[in-house]
Amino acid sequence: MSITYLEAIREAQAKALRDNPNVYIYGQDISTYGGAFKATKNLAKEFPGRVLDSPISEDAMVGSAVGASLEGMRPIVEMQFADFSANGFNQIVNHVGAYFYRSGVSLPITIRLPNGGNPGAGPFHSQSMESLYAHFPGLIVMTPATVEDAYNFLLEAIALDDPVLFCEHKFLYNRVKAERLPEEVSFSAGKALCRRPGKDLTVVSYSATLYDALAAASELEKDGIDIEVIDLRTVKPLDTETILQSVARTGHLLSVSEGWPWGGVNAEVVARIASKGFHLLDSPPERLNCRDTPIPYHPDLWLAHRPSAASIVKKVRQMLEW
Amino acid sequence: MLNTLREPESETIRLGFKEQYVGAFKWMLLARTVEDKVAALWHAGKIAGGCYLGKGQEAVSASVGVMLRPGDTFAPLIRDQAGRLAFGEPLFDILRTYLGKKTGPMRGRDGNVHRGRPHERIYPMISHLGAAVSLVAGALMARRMRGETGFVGATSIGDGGSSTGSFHEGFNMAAVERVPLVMTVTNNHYAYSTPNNRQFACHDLVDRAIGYGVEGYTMDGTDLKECLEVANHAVERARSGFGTQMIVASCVRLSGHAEHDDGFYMDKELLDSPVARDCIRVAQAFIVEQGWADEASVQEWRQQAKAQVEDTLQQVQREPAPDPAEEDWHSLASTHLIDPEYLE
Amino acid sequence: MPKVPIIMPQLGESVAEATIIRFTAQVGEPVTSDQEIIEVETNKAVMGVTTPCGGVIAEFIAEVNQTYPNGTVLGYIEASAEDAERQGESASEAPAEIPATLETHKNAPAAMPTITIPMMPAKSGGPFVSPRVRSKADQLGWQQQDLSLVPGTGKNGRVTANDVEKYLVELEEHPTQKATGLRLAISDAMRRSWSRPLCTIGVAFSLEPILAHRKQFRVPPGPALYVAKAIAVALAENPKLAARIVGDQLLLPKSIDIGVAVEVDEGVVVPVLKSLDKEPLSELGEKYQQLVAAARARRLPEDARDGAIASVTNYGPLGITWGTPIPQPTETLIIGLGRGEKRPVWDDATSQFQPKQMADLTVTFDHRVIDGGASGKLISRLVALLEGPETL
Repeated sequence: MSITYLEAIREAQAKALRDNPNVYIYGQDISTYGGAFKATKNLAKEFPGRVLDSPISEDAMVGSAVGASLEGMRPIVEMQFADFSANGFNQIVNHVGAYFYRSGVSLPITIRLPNGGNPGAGPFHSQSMESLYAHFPGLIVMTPATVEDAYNFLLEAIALDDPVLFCEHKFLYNRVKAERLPEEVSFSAGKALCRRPGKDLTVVSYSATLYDALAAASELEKDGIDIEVIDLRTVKPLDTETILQSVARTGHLLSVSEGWPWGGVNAEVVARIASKGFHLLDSPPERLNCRDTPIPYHPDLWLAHRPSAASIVKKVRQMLEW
Repeated sequence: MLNTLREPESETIRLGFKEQYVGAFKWMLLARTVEDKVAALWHAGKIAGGCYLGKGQEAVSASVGVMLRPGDTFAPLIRDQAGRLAFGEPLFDILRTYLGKKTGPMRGRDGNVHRGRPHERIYPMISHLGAAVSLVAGALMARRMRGETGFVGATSIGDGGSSTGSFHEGFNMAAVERVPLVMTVTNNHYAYSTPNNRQFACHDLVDRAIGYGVEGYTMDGTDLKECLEVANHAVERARSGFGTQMIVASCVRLSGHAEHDDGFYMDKELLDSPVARDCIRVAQAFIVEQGWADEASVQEWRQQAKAQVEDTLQQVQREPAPDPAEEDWHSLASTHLIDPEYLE
Repeated sequence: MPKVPIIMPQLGESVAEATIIRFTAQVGEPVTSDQEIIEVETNKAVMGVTTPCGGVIAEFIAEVNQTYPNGTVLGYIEASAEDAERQGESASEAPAEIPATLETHKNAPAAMPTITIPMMPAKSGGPFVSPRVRSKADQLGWQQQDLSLVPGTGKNGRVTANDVEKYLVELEEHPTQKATGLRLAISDAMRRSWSRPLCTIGVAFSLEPILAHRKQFRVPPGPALYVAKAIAVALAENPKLAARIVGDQLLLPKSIDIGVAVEVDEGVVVPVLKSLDKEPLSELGEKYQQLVAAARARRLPEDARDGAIASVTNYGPLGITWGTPIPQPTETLIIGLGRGEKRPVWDDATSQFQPKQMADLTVTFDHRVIDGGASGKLISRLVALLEGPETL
């Protein structure tokens, strides 16, 4: 008996719909079709009138969630691909994100973003949008990497009275599995976790690249290099403390993300540690991002475009020779 | 604490035509009076930022406003002062927001027309025009999901705003969901300085109603009587389950796009034509003609409006501005999820 | 009656100023609130400035055809106390830090001078001390000196944080004891002294004249005192030998103050005999005994604590015949006296080796100040004085 990352997301939504009559889901192709990735398969049948097909209108989808949440509902908006949330960007950052600060009323909206790349998906079905939304105030940004985290964090996102960008990674949907869902739901937004303790160097990552980091760790172990891998789990708020503790142990920091190199999560991690952990560093803190081009279509190009276990291994070795 | 001229709800519903007309006219007067005061304050350097007024559109806005009941949803836009007052927005809110007072509904964090009271279903706009349309659609969807009936949601937009993708998506969605949304599109012939022929290619904006699949009406925005008839009909249709309604009103701005704009680009012929009549003058003449009040009484109503604005202003001017040192600078309600780094 | 200012409003976003076209009210004229009283022109339009309240125009400061920035006081209205009180702060006052327009930067250089920023070394490592290593060293109270003793396995021998940790583990295997203040002071002084190129020369000389000469005194001065007096005399003759080099300057001695090292528990103390060239040998013995007692009790008088331009160290009693002592960091010279012993010395007169009481004298000097020649002359002069003590 095993459950995939995607199934965990579906189960979390089912549980939320069951437990709270104010929860509903709005997205393209989510009712009869069950969603482009089947994240809402059979939910429309089980919860009639609460899993609704929207027109192709990302702007209006998010705007309608504003209105609905002001009326006491807890809307989940499913973007078909994170890339298309760009069409709703204004509503997300200027309407949703700004509402609480301006009016004192918070909006319990969850926007699910099928985030990140798959081979052959091309430039407009592969983007990592977490850095962009983390930049604007008023938004919580979650980036779970495990089945357990996908389940718990989505439930927490729905329960929170503030808006959440829930970045679920498409590459992980059917490739990450667990034996079962957690017995009890637990909320831990904002807390990073050490996935692999080590002593020679800290690698910070999240979502799909977490697995590349863990693979790199196994490879490096053969040469007696023992790296510590931290899973951010939430990108905003960012758990600076856990990263500092790790760098206090190892003295070296590499931040790995699938996002683009100019600014973003890696830049944020490095800036914070350079400032608050300067005295802990034995070498300059580094970043591994994808390349500064749109994400290529051909799988070979795609592989070379993003960080990989091999590029992480290479970078770690370089850093330790400093 | 509310401090308005608003009459009790139950009476409004049972009002006859005269009461409705005169009631709407008084809201128009109050709107014009407070906006004249706001303009004067701006020209005296007392208001920071921009000053966008609704002079000339009072009939359009008030006529929809008086059709709304407590519990309806209202997302007013820039030139909706009259409608806001009719819906119950206190004068204090207006002056406090323009003067950026800590005591206002936005507490200095937003200003001028970006104000509202979400708990009372009057929503603060954002500057990206059209964004409010889907907000109202979503609010109405939610109420229906909860089994609430007999309410409507009203919002407005201009000839310019109706060009945005936001407007299109929101209005299309409202129509698809068949929510009781009443959209008032006011064609005042210029979007800032852009005339209609650079804004849309259809013959009349109401033609789009067919495209959206909604009921559409036109009204002469200078004629309060016609406005009341059309608004009444549209709101009733929406309230009775006939879905989304589109009203297209025609009038002309009686000020620039904002107070910093003198409207030099406006066509002189248009300004001399009937579509540019001042709706307040037209309504006043109608009231006198009907024998409902004489000129002197109307003058007295003006004086009362002036006094009310002045009294409110006197108090508001003494109220405190927000203090940066006392701000919590929180952008989330969940304080345990605010990055400690940002609280230093 | 209070005066309320008439302020130039901000007549549009990014509008910074406006030009007065005409005044539509006169000084002395009564005005109401919200009355337009000045017509101005901005880059966008012609518009009016209105009164902040009712009253009488008291004065206009602004002039027609002149341009004024936002927030400028254009005039005053005489108003009631109540109206004045209501005005509060102008909401559209220009903030103080609005930068001047570009025209005022006439004196800015046409092109900013470029600075060559050193490139980060492509090969890192070597002597670079990372923040983490620096932090650990600070914690331990280490100097650069201590760090350089740690074997470095980083690039080009850089001492990494791991290297420090390994080193500390090794050290931990040893029992430790806290060093005393005196030990630390000497440690620091010797480190600083050693940073110079020090050179030692030596010669053997006969103690017999001194041993005979000293018998005449009530408190006989020891051989070390004779050496101290000899160096005092030699330096009085040629003070430049005890100069200190600092940058491109030679610091010459103020007075001939000579230190004599004394062994105490845990280390060495060097009491200073001031202006020793002028002190008679007869009184030296007693004086020195008192200083030694004080030194051993660590109660040296203020004026005997420092300022020596050269010192003498007598390690003969310790069993050492020959040594290369290290001068104090502020001294250019130190003279070492070894143990006296009977040695066969060739005697021309008898064509035989004769037993003679001999000792080895060494001089360590800072080679930046003195060269071989000068040092040779100095040591010869010292031997002459020591073998002819009646001249001291």
